Amino acid sequence: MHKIDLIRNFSIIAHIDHGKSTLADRFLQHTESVDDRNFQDQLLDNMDLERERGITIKSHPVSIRFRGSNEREYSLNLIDTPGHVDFSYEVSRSLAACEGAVLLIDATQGVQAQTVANVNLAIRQNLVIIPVINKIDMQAADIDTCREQLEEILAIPADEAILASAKDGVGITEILEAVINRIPSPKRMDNEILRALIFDSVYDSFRGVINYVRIVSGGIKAGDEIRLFSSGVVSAVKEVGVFSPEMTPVGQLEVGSVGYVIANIKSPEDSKIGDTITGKVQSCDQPLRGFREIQPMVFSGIYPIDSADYEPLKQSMAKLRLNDSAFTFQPETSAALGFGCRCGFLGLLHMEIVQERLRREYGMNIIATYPSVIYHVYLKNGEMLEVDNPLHLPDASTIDRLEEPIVKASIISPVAYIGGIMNLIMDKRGVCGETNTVDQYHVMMAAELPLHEIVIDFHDKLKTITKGYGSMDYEPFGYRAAPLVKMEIKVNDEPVDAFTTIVHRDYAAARGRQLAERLQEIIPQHLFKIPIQAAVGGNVIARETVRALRKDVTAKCYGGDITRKRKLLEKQKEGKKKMKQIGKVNIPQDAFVKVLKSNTS
Amino acid sequence: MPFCARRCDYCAFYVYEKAASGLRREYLTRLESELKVKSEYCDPLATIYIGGGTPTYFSTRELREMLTMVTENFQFEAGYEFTVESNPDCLTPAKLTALIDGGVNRISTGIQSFSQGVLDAIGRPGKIERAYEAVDAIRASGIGNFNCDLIFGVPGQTISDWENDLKEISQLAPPHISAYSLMIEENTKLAESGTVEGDDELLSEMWNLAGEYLENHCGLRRYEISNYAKTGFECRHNQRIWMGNRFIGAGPSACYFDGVSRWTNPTTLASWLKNTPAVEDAVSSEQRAVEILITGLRTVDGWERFDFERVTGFDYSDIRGETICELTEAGLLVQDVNSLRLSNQGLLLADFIARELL
Ligand SMILES: Nc1nc2c(ncn2[C@@H]2O[C@H](COP(=O)(O)OP(=O)(O)OP(=O)(O)O)[C@@H](O)[C@H]2O)c(=O)[nH]1
Ligand code: SF4
Ligand SMILES: [Mg+2]
Repeated sequence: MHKIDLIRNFSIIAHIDHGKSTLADRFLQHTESVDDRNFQDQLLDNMDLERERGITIKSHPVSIRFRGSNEREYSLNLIDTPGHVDFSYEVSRSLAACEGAVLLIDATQGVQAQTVANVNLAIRQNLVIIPVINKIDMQAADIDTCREQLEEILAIPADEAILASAKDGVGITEILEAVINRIPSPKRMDNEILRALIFDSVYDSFRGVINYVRIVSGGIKAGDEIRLFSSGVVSAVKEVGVFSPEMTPVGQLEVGSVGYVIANIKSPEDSKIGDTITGKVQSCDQPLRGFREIQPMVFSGIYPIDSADYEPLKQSMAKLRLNDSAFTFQPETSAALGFGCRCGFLGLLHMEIVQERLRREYGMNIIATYPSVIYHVYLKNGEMLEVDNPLHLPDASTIDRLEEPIVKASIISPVAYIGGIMNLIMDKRGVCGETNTVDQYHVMMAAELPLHEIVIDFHDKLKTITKGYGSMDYEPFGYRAAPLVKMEIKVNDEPVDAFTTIVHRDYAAARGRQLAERLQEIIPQHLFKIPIQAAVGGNVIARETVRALRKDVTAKCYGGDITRKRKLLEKQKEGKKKMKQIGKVNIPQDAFVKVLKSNTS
Repeated sequence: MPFCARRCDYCAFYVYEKAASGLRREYLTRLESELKVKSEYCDPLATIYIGGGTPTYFSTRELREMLTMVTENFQFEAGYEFTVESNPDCLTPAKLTALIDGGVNRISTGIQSFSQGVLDAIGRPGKIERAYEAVDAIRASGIGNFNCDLIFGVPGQTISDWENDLKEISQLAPPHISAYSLMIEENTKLAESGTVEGDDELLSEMWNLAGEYLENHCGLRRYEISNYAKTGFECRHNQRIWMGNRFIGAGPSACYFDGVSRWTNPTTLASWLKNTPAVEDAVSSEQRAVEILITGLRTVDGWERFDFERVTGFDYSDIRGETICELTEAGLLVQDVNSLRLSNQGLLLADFIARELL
């Protein structure tokens, strides 16, 4: 038997929270790949942000060894993927390194929108799918409905499903046996020339670019001279290794396996996710099929609080992009905020995560502007402009019409909430499409909605209306004309361009009021009163005031208190430094994200 | 002194409720050894202050023992000030006599309010009549220098409730009043229950009312943000601390200042009993000077340039001249050729000013 026949590459995919990372934990423990001492729940979620939020943000590869009931020892490369819709690009890239996928379905929730979306991704890549019904330990588990949904919605034979509880470790061996028996080993290649697909990467300040690869043909070891196909950069390999789950050097990465490659690549621009690594001397003629370029849907400006940080900010973004290729950025300027970058994201959560990562991993002090989508602006002279920054909207008198991006949403929900969901869709300027029953309790609804509305708070509202059971997936669905206007916000009588937004004329007053009210809560009191106004075409449509600060004093200061008090004041002062001064007003960094959250409450 | 009958809802001190006598004994034993050590390199004391906690929660015997520790180990300057904090509930005639016998010449008593609603809201049970009786008893004992603590800005308290408290206290006519607006600090029952501090406009109105009322009806002048006194009855102990003088401290959480660094004893009783060493707060001499500038500015009279220089070695204009000018222009500081103080508006914004100066 050839070595490659004992390799299995698979991802764990599911809707958010269905238990992927918990199942990965059980795999790691069952195969004794981690010490009990080092174990913690959702072990692979190793970013601070993942642990804090209890969700997976990045795909995490890990290699484990498993002895099957046939007494053969297999090398399993598994990738735990995120479930949130904003990170589906992570899933699709992970799948490109695999021959199979373990599909989890939470027995209490059934098939949800990202279950469908991720299954479609796996099918598109011709992967073998192993369906697993998880959380069967729970009282509310409804296994029969899950089985019915598997067949009805996903066209997967229900008898293929394995019952499991990732929490209690039920069904783990059965799943691993299915992995070795149902998922094929990587294809053997006659070709000996190195071809490795870069499916992810990170920037390490000491070692430069670290590429995560799937070896498609040939092999790679330290000392080899390699070429990155699209950039043409040539470099010597310093280390190759596997994830166990921390990076562990190995002698050689062989065909079919998944691991990492560290070469001498110091500039983030030289490496690109989706590129092919090949030999310097023996090069392949054709790169591997990479990944489709992902189009960001949501845009927002990110600016350094201190303008001297502009260059470091750009460098940090380049490094971050190595690890998050769905994020894009290019330079722009703002009257209020100076030099910064217009950044593209897949959604609001993605936007928040990128901002947080820039803050935490790169120590950047940043402020982000109100998010926007890409509008199509048709001018009277026949020209069409794409505008991703409301500031660049041309004068209203030159505009013939404005079109906004539309998405086609597919919503899965228990039947009981249909009415509420329809109202929500209408509220959000959407059009309801077909409603199909999936099983006796659930429906799948189609709707067309302006992307901008989805960006704002559609998803949270859907969750509230459906008590957490509704889920949604969406894809771009062209553009549609709408009576859109530019709304400006003035703080202390100065227009703050970073808050400028494009809104539907009929919704302008309400949105303006919300924004002004929310800003009034977010902007801290100053020594003077701060008027906040929302205006469309010069007409003020909403007005609020932040009252002047009258009292800011600690009542009591005795001898035992002085050190503690000084430290507290110093800390508060640091906090203030992190705010952006616009005119005479200090605005907190997270104002723009918080303003958005308002609408959800 | 870290013991109280019951922990008040706003209290952020490490106090122990209803401590067993064994624990109090351990405290006194360890206190004695700490005082002995500290007395060795100590000049005669100008002021002494025993607070905490509720010193009068101690039995008369324990109280006498504690006071003896102080008088036996330390020398006092002529005209010294010796204050003990008390709670009207436990200030019995016997304890009062013990205090006087022990050299105490100033008593501070925590009245807080004459409204049952306010007392309930801050978790301080006790009969309101005890406040009147306690003040009468202090007076009768011959101690003319005493303070009453009041609190305002309590949830549900209106401006007229506060005015009523001021009216009541003016009947008692103490020579010194501390009127603190309620602070909601971390790790207090109030913070845990989600209570927030009152609206800044209402609080500043209450503060202004206190200033006017106490001046007009009691002849007390505000001499610090929260402190009011008849001339000559200011709390010298606190004044000396605000103006950057050295002091020693003993007991859990106690602080001391050696003129260069500040030190804080371990906060919990258990760690202090184990002789855990104090933690040093060492900052540059300029930072220390700024800190002293800030605490001194809490007093209504603020700083004389030469006093500040004598205490800290710095001229405030050299180290913070620019900020001082900005704050003066903003109307928060009042500057004379050789003096610096907060304006009336500035007193209410002392933390804001402090952050600018830091
Ligand atoms: N009762 C029960 N709870 C489970 C089971 N599997 C996972 N959970 C819980 O479900 C929650 C989500 O689990 P995760 O493993 O983080 O889910 P995930 O699919 O990785 O989530 P994302 O990565 O954010 O998409 C956690 O609170 C788990 O403890 C199970 O079999 N039974
Ligand atoms: S009496 Fe003073 S020290 Fe004791 S609990 Fe109340 S506030 Fe705290
Ligand atoms: Mg996960």
